[in-house]
Amino acid sequence: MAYRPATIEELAEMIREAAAHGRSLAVSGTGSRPGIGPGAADADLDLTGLGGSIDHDPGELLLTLPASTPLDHVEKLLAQSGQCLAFEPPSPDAIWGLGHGTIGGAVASGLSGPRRPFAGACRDHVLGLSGVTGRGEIFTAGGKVLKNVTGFDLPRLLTGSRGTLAVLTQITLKVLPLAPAQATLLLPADTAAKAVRIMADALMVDGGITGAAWSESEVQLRIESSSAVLPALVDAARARLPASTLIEGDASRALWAAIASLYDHAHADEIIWRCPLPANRAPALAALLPPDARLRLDWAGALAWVLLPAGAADLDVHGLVAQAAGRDGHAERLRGAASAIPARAPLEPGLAALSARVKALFDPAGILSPAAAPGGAA
Amino acid sequence: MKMPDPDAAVMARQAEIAAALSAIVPDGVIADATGVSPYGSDGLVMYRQSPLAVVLPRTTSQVSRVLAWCHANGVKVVARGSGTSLSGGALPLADGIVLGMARFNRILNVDYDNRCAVVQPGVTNLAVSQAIAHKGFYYAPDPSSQIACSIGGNVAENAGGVHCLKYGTTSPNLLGVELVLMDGTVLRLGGPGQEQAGYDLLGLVCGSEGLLGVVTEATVRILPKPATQRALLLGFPSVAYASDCVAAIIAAGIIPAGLEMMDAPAIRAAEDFVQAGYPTDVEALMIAEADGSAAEVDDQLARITTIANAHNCTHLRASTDEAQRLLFWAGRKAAFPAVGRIASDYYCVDGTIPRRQLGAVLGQISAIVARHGLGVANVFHAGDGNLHPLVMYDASVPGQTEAAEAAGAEILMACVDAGGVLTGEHGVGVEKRDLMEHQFSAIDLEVQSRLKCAFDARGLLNPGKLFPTLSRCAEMNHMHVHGGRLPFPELPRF
Repeated sequence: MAYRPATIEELAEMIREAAAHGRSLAVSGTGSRPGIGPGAADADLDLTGLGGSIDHDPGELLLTLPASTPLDHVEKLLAQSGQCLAFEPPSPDAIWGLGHGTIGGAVASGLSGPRRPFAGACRDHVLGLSGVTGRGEIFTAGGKVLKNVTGFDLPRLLTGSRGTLAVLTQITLKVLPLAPAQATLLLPADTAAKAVRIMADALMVDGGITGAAWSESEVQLRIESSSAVLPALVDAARARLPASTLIEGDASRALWAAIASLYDHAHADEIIWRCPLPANRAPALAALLPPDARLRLDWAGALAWVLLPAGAADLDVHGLVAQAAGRDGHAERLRGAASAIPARAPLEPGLAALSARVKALFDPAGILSPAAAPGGAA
Repeated sequence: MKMPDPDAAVMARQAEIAAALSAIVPDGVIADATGVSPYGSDGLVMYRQSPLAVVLPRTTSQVSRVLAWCHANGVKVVARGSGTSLSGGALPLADGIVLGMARFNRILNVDYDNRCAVVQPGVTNLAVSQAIAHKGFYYAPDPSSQIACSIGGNVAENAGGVHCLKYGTTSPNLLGVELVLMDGTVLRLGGPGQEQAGYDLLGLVCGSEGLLGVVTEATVRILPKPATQRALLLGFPSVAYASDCVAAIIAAGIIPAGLEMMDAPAIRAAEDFVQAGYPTDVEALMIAEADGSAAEVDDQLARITTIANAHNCTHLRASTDEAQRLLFWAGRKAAFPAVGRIASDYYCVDGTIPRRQLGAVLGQISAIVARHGLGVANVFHAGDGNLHPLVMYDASVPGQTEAAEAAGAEILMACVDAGGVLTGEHGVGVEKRDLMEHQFSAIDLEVQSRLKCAFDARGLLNPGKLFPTLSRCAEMNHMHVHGGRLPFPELPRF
């Protein structure tokens, strides 16, 4: 069974009706993120029919658009004005191969790309939104200005809430200038420990670095600025860091597009785990991984990607992250067949109880993507 | 401003409450009228109310036990940092206690490799930067009250400052908190990593104005100091030229570290006060600051200069050394006390508008204050559209305080009507509480305010602030809204 509302009023009516009958809804856009999607439900709620106009005001750094807008369309539109989504939303296509998804999906999933430690996370760029709660209420939160502390910060709460609290219909984003020039330093580092040390040292100084990642043998440090200034920043970074090779312009851009979408080259059958943790705990995680696991680091080490061969489905990555980082880290399986290991670990009890209360206030009947709520099916 | 009706039964138990809390915090309960008096108001001095008692805990365990006791006994709690809120966020309640967090004054850990610091909530904003300056680091949010305001208060209000356009308000610089709920539950949200599991409850708590929990520890992001900071002083013959110049700078892809503006009355008041070298023959003055490497700063200031010259800039000076840069800022940072010298009292208003509306809204502000027979000086965080009209009045003249408040409310409504919001950085508190319905629909407010039920179902933490009404949490598990009708039309208003 599937619902496909054409207006927000229709959407609200469908949600009220589903709530009245206790019929759960799998909330989704184009279904491009199955690994972190709504999971099983009684009916699908397809939001691609909810259109609307796009209002991009480059001088105000604001973009308001329907949640159903395709993500690649958003990025092309912004590029025309020399702007971007500074949190570099990772394209789901590289992980799941089902297209680039919608801006609503990008916000609901809350994932941020390589620029996260430098420009902020997805949640820091969502200024306002409209949507419908699980009670069928049509509401607006936040605002259409850059600086706003009026009321509870629902835009942050709803970003990354995976469609379990409300259905987003319209989003206002802060958009920022795209740096006209970039270059990447490649520094040899054959262990995670060496890589994390190099990245931490590189970031001890303010030097225009907007990306710090590691794969297998090298650290990648991105530097962005205007074309007039970039050479001086690159020279300064090279002068204070170990020997490096340099790639520039489009080659650098291609590298970071690949890093943002998990290096593009995660093998087709590999299991993908995403593990945010304090950067200096990443070496401890590396030491705990079996030899056939591959490790990638982003966010200067604060985001670990663990890639496992299909046969390693029973590796308890939650346990390894907990061993490496205690309660300061966590793990989520984005891709890979169901196994005895859950995709997400349960939250600590106090947090789980609070999260369940928050969920119940938005969605008392528990109908919005119940399987995706923190802690899993209610 | 009407506060919730005090509970006479609770007030009658004042001695018993003080005694019970003294048993939890033996050296930290003030219950005599003289002792609680300094806690009677915060930075919004128009309002004053003595609490039943002031409790000054030292440990998270004490905070937890105090809250649990108050929860069990139906006693309201207002948490307070340094009491610098400009919106009345820390205004006490007659039937509640103030939980003063000043004794939580230690920096617990600085982790340069993860670029974060763990601090107690009573630490002042500036003290964080001072403690890490020797390593070349700083904490970015810099509200004007930074020598006094506390990190806990900054978290409660999602405090801003003059560098928000580039570095953000408190929320993007906050990585984690230890939070005590009203029932005494101690939770950790976030931490030294960059992302928490589950809902972004940290994001919800930041800026929740003390309604959701009490912060007992905060993990903040620290940054390496830029190698160079330089500022331009730019004068314009009209505010319209200056605001077009701001738009052109942003449209050129430049995000300056600071982009401040002052109108003629503010310029003259500031110049008279600190002799910052401001031109007094211009109608608008802009301070544009660039930071980063010397090459970046030179490049950015050169581009801003070109744009300013194309926008009728009549006065342009670049700081040549750090002393001059600080002097440029001294006038702006002293704008509030400077206005305090020319008016016996002033009321600082805080709204945000889409920048393109600046000229129109300024015209409305002039008309509004003139209608009330008052004067105004304007300072703006021009880059992000955050306005601070300073409405000048004389509290000793009958009716002028009320006139200033009325003018402030009309200014904020004009901001909302121009597509903006009621507050950019000072919070809603008691000050703007009853204006919330001008910005949000009844449903919008209901969706926000009922979140309090998840954290504080009895409504004991800072009630009467932020929302004009609070939901009845016991009824929250049912569906109430039909066809856009108000869920609780009969709810009492504060």
